[in-house]
Amino acid sequence: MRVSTILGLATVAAAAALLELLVASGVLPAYIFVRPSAMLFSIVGLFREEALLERLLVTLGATLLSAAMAVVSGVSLGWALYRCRLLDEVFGTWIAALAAAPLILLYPLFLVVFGRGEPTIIAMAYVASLVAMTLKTRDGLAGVRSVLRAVGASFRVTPAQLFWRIELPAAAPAIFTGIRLALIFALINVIGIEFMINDGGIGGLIADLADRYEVPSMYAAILFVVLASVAFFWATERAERWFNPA
Amino acid sequence: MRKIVLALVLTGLSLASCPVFANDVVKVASAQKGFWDTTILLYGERAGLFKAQGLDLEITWTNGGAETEQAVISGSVDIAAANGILGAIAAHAKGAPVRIIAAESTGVTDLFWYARGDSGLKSFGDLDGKTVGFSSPGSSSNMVALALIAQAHVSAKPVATGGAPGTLTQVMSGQIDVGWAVPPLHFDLIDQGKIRIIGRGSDIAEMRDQTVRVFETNTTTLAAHRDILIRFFRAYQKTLDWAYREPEALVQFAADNKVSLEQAHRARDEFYPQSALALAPISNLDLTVKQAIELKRLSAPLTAEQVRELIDIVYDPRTDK
Repeated sequence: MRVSTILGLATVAAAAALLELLVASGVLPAYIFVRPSAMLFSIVGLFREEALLERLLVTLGATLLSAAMAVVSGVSLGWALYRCRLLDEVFGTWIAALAAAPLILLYPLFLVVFGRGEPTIIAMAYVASLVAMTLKTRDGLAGVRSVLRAVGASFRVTPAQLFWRIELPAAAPAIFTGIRLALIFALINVIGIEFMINDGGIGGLIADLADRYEVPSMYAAILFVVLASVAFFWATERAERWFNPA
Repeated sequence: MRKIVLALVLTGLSLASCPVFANDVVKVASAQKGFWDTTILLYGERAGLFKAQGLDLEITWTNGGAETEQAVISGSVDIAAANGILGAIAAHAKGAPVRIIAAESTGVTDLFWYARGDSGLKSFGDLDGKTVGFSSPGSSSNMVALALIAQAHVSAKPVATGGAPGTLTQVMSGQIDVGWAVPPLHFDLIDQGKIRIIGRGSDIAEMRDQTVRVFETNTTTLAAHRDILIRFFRAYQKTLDWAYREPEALVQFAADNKVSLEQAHRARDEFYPQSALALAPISNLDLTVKQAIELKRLSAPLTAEQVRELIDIVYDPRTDK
């Protein structure tokens, strides 16, 4: 195990021990802050009584579906913006502005169109992830060094070969950053919408636990969300290394 | 001359900060602005009834539930108004420093369920295989919806639909069959025949005397400012009496909800009898505890000691002279 990993885990363990001590001694109020030990013990109950695994699968399913849709359409849209300067000049700024827009406030509109449930959750997560994927793809393709294109031209490659053999691999780091962002934005929005409409997977569970004032279980469910995002980062990192060993 | 002006300014500043001339500020979190029972304290504040008791209210409007509960637990507000009793019981049972200090709504006379006028649905008995909306899991609308379905012996599916305005959209677009609301919402559609009331909370006999919403405070406020809480409820009781005697509150209610005065009258008189808003007692706690266990708010019934600790009615208008 690398030193950095050990140091990271040790820091988390030390912080948990400090929090345990502060709550157990009454310095921090137990009805607001949770003892890490109580949180860990509540995980068993989450699996047994709250169907945590099923809810996790619902959330992950919605996240992966919306992210996958964003990746497919975002790469296509990003490529289109890269290839057509006019399109980029007309729509590029608007798409970038969407990244700063609080799209989550449109959820009542989405509820009307898609109904209260999974379709709304997936639709909103897709819209939120699409922007990052599109912009990163465009920027990645635009950042491909001209010398690489020149090498391709010297070998008389077709436009399709130029894209698949030179431009896409060269733009892979940026595109994978876009995929990571798409996954994270999708996860955040899926859980956020589930929490707001009190329905669905982990987000709905967290809302329900908050309503019932099950504080240790609520924090444990949030911990699972953090672990899910760590897993996403690890998976995309491995996928990037497989795609681009250099 | 300069010294005289300076002296006058300093005197004015010290007088302005003198506590003798300042009312006590009471921070209140209330759920769902716009309903008669939740907004009535705002009308009382506007009418000066709280000022007469030496109180200034700072009202924060929430979406209810955990949001209001956390506000009073953390001490951000002094009083949580119109909060579900299940939430109060659950928080207290988990060790949160909250106390129920008054009833806010007893019986569920305000809730009603409706279907589209062209749906052919006339009562809960017609709802086999249909979907029935309620606001959110654990809410009073959730409890009443389940009770109405059970009472009608139908296999209807309860669906969380969120707030009343969004629920209407889902009913009218056909996403669900039956929606929930409180008056005076949708009265215009009822009058036009576009929707029809098919069930009411008052149809559930066992819940007619159940206190479903309460006022809460945290233990710090209760210990340090009990006198302020008493004055608050004295003013609140005067507000209730005034709102049911004088037309002014109803005029504001109609204006705030953009309905006619006639519709506002109907909403108050048919759905909010004054007796339902009595500050005491906390009624039918046994039924509430049973529901709390069913909805996983509690793992076991409350002991007598827990009940004594949980409920502390600071002001009872029945005994106040």
